[in-house]
Parts: sequence; structure tokens; C-alpha cells
Amino acid sequence: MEVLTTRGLTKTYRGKDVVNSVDMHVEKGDIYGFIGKNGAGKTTLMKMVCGLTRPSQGGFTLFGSDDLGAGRKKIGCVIEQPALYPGMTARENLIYYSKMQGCEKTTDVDAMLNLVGLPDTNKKKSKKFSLGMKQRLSIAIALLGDPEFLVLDEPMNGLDPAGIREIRELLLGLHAKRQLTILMSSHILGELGKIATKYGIINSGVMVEEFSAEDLENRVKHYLHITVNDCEKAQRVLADKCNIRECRILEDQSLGVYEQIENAALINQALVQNDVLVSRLVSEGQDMEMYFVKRMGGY
Amino acid sequence: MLDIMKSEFYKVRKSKVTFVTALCLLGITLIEAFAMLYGRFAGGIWREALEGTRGINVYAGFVSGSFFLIFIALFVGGMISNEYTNRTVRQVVSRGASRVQIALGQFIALSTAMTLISLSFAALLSIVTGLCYGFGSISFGRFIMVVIGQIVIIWSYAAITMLIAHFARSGGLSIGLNVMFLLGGEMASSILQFLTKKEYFYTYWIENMQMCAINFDLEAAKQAKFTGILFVIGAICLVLGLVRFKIRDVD
Repeated sequence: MEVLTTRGLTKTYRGKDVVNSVDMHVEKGDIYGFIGKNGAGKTTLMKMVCGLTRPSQGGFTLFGSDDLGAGRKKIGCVIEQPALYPGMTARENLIYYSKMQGCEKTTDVDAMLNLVGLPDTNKKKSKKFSLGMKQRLSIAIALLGDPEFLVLDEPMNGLDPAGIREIRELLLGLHAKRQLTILMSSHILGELGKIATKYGIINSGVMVEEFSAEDLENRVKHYLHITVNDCEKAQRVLADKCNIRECRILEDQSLGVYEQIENAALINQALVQNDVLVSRLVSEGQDMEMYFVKRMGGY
Repeated sequence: MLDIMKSEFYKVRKSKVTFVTALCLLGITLIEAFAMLYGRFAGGIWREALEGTRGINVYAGFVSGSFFLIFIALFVGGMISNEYTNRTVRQVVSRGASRVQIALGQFIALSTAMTLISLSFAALLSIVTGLCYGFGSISFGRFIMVVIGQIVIIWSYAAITMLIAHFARSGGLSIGLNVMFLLGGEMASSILQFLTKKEYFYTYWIENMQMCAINFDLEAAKQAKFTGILFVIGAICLVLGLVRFKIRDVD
């Protein structure tokens, strides 16, 4: 089931499309990494999903339904900075939101504080919390009412490496235990790479592409790019002589070899000795960050 | 709706704005109570000046004047504007509850808190005054009209403040607009009355209607009329405030 499906979703501010006809698909169980430069439209799209702003055109469904009010009761979100009542303690903030949702058991509130690692804040007002504590409390608030879908806008922003790891482990734990679907934007591509199962890249309000984590691995994997006169024969030779199975014919009718990349010379020798003419052999591939930067419209 | 109201009452109870507003009103009450007691026991010109004061006048007059309306603006406007400043309005709106219910729940909680605080201190001050100078006399029906007038004043001005706050979004701007509305409006109504020689510019200005709604020496029909007009103004502003909050982008 698709938890979130957007169709031509557009938001226009003062004549400018900050989100431009975006089609997005978040499946149940996904940890969807939403990537884009500053000002690309990520937060605006998330705000529309959470009901903070209205779309100018297009629409979306939640949990397969057009009844967004009912759908939003199953969502928890953290948009931009943590939104806490500064004069209240962590517990009081949670009690307020849990009363609003009709779940008033204080044991649930205490359990939530334990879950996010804030059991001992007692009478400390949230205005005195560190950023990491505020982020964790915000996630706790988002988790009230047992949502099925979390929308998190840069939850690791401003955190130190220890804080980032804590949030990552918290989210992975929630995903595993509660089968939560998570839509998460972040600039920290390395962290997203450790957690996301699917990606969406947005650039200047336009969705560039969506792909799974598996696809991404294939796209950034290093390989030997070999131009030969007979690709199919070359595949057979490599399979028989070098025991190479992971070998594909690419779009430009050349060969991509994904195994034994370090043995380029032996691969070349095997091909030539079996009457396959090699006109070009080069090692290619890029790291994940470079791939994303290019797709986001960078250099 | 009930859940929203419970949460809003909880928030009002926990808020520093509520505490400060109550403290300020308590301070004013205690100062006035002290003045009553001092006049009673010190005697002299002080006592002469307060001799005509009665408990019921003090009770009714507690919610009169632009000073009291500014308190409503500080409390209601402050609480609503804080939601935008802290960005908690985003979290509140994203939970799937109806925006109209959220805004209405806030309004009810804030107006109820302001009413309870004000009328409690009004009662306290009237008891002190009554013990010092007498309570005065008033029929039960007129007393009920006074109480209704007080409640309408508080709730109507809270609705006006809520409307201003949902447009202004910032606490400072909200208070500023309220002060301009009250002071500028009074000046404008006086000037218009002077220039046009038409009484109704002043008669139907909010502060005059406020005084009339709690004036039990006025004819009952007139008191009821001004209370009714304030009620209608409050109701219109409440509806406009709810609509504004319902349709606006919260970002």
C-alpha cells in the first residue's frame, strides 16, 4: 500500500512554483530519504502533506484515501525546528499533546520519554534543553497516538555526531519494532545512506527521480567499462574463463563488469586471447555524495 | 472537541502568561483593597473621597476601562501569538484535528481563564469594599445582568484580540494593534462626534458600550442593548478569527 501518493502537487508563492507538479510515492515500510538543495521545495512539500499549507494545484492521498483529516490522525511530524512550549517540561509538553489526542495515560507519556532517551529531565523546562534533547522530544511528540507514518524535516540538523547516531538508531529501532513508514529529508547524505530504503531527489521544486536503495547501489558502484566488438561473446568468455557473472551490457552497447574490478589486466588478457577485440577499458563509478550532488543540480 | 478543550485548559494552566496576568490583576486588586482599608481606618480626606463607594460598584467596575481591555489583549493576544513565535501552531495543526475546533477550543479556554481570574478578584475587592463602606443594593435580576455584561465584555474583547492575533501572528504587533485600536479608536470617535455633532459615534464606541453593559443605574433595556451589541461584535470577530485560522497557511 502507498502511504503517501502525490499527483502533480504544486505550491506557488508570489507567482513562483516552489513545488512544481511533484509526483511522489512512499510505500508502507519505506524509510524515504528526501534529498534536495536548500530551497528545493522539500520543506514546503512536507508542510502540504502535514496540512500546514494548502497546495496551489494537484493533490495527494494518505493511506490510499482522499480523506486527509483521517489520514493525518495517523501521521506524526517534525517540521523544521522543534516546536515545543518553552515554559513547560518535557513531560508537560507530552501531556498537552496526548490530551489533545485523547490519550491521557501518564504511563504512556513516561514510556515515550524513556523510548527517546529523556527519562530524567524532571522539572527542567524545554527552553533549557540542548538541541539534541529538543529533537528527541519533538520525535516523542510526533510518536504520540501511535502514528503509522512519520514526516521528519531534517531531524539531524545541528546535532553533533553522537546525537546524529542516537537519532539514527532511534529511527531504525522504531522502523523495525513498529513498522513505521518514515519520510525524512536531510542534507547529511552519508547518514541518509545508512538508513534510507528509498530516495527521492528534488531540484528547484521539480522531482528529479525516485529510486530504491538497491538501485542507488548499482548506480554508484564501481565497475570496469569495456568497449568490445562483441558484447555477448565477451560475457561468455568472462563467465567461462574468469568466473565473472556480474556483467551487463550497457546502454551504449559496451560492457559493464562489476566483479574482480582490481583484475582489469587479467580480464583484458582473457578477452583478447579469446578473440574479443577490446578498444577501451576504464574503471568508472562515483561515490554516493557525488551522485546526489549531480542529480540535485550541483556541479 | 472535548479533548482539544482539555488540552487547551491544561496549557493555559501551565502558562507563564496566565501566571503573570493573574499576578498583575492580583496586584492591582491588592493595591485597591489596601486603599479601601486605608481610607476606612485612616480617615480624613481619604475616607471622605471613598465614602460613596459601594461593594457592588467596585465589583461591576472591575472590568471597565481600556486598561482592563489591554489586559485581555496581553493575555489572549500573548497566548495566541506565542503559538506562532514558538511554532507550536504547526505541531497543533498537523495532528488531524479540525482547525476551527482548535481555534475555538483555545478561545474558550482563554476566555474562561480570563473570566475566572477577573471575576474572582472583582469579588475579592468588592468584599473588602463592602466591609469597609457597605455593599450597596441591587436586585438579583440586575445583578445577573451585570455579571452577563462582564462576561460579554471579556469574551467579546477576547474574540477581537484573537482576530487581531491571527492576523498579526507576532506578540508585539498584536499588542500594538490592540493599543492603537483602543486609543486611536477612542480619539477617532471623539473627533467624529465633535465634527459631526452625532452622539452615536461616541455612544457606540467599545469603551462606552463596555461602561453601559455593567452600569446597573442605567435603564435595564439600554444595558441589555449595549450588552447585546457587544455580544454581536464579539460573535462576528470570533467567526472571522476562526475562518482566518482555518484558511491561512501556517508557516
